[in-house]
Amino acid sequence: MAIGNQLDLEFEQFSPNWDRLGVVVPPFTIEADPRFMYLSTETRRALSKVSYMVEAGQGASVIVGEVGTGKTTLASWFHSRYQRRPDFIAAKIDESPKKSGLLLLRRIAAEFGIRTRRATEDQLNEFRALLVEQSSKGILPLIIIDEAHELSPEQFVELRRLLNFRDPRGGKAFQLVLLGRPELDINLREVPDFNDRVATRSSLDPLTPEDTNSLIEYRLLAAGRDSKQVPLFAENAILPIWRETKGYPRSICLLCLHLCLELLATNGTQINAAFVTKFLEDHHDYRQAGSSRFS
Amino acid sequence: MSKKENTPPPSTLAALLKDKPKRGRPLRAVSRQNVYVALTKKQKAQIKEMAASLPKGITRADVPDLAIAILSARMEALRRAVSGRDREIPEGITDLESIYLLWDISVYEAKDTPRKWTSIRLSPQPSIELGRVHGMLYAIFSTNRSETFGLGLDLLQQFVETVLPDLDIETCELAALRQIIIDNYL
Repeated sequence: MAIGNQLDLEFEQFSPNWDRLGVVVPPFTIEADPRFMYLSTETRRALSKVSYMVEAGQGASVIVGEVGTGKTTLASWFHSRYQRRPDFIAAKIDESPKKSGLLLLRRIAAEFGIRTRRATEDQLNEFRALLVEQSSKGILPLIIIDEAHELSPEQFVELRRLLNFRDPRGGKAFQLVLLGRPELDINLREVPDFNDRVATRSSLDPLTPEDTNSLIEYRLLAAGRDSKQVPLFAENAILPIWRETKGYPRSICLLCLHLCLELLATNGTQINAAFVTKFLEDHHDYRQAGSSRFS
Repeated sequence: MSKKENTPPPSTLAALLKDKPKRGRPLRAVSRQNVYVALTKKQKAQIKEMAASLPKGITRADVPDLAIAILSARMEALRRAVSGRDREIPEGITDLESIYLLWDISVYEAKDTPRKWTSIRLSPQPSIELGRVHGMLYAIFSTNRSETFGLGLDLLQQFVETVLPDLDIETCELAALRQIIIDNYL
């Protein structure tokens, strides 16, 4: 039997007692949950620049980052924050429809709760009507598109047409936040008309060892662990974790989740460098083992 | 008739107007006020270095006034940019450090850096502006007056390094440089 399958079987028989770690909820869930969003310097930079551009009505903002750097969490953060504001309506597209510009417009329309139409011009007229209605109340529409590196040139053309709409103050009527992998930058170069309208670009880089430590501490704190308790992760455990995960937040969370489960299974009290090294030697394919069932 | 009788008596009105300052702005600069802030050693050195990089006619004593001028102009620009919204500061700016990140200012000293209380001398208008910006930042982020002034110093440093070389000014007075700053950001 493969080691991954063995791990799966062991975990199936094992129900983690998170209380023993002093937390009320699993601290290292890999789902995009804004409550657990750790603000590294790069994330804060992206947040401040993009939110400034959105609120100043500057149009399009782009955030790029490799897989697992926290783009989807950031998208959820923007959506949850601006949805709550009385002066914004927000639409979030997690996965855009393939190639067709009209289908993308229809998806955005559905998110805003307006009528979907079969012709592009009709659909744009629906957006125009939405603008007239919302701008009279001082409300700004915000569109957040995750996985934007998958957008086709045709879809960028339709987004550019949305960006051409103006609000009564003369600013851009629709605010757009695009989040995607670094290929997004390359794709944008192929659509210069749209690219010229991008107000700000930010990138999410992997974390430093110090940020890795802060992320782990923040996650444990957010999950309810008392900061006065003995640290669950010893100081010397951070570097091996960072080396193994290369500083990618999702990988850090996945490894830390497995380390916590291993600690619970072995009735240990603290995760130190030796513990991490031994775990990685014994379960080098821990990534293949299931994780969602424990969250 | 004696000589004395020939000279007309001095006009009362002329006497009243003689050597009297004109109404409005005083002819001489009004003395600066002491404002107390806690500065790090690095910030004190920063003031000295910046004074050397500024155009002729601007002295070290003018640096605090300029720092407040630039801070006030940039905060006003930020406020105007989001004036249609229901917040004075955008949603993603969650603390003072976020403002540093927004404006790409590299110098940011941690809160626990040792500081010494010192007095800076500010002209009347900049001292009012410092109070206004401090009040706003304190209400949003609990920023103290020293941190507010520190932000002004870092903004001035950025201006000196990035904007001033392009302007190519050799000699300038304080009021003129203040106007250049306002024109540049507002």
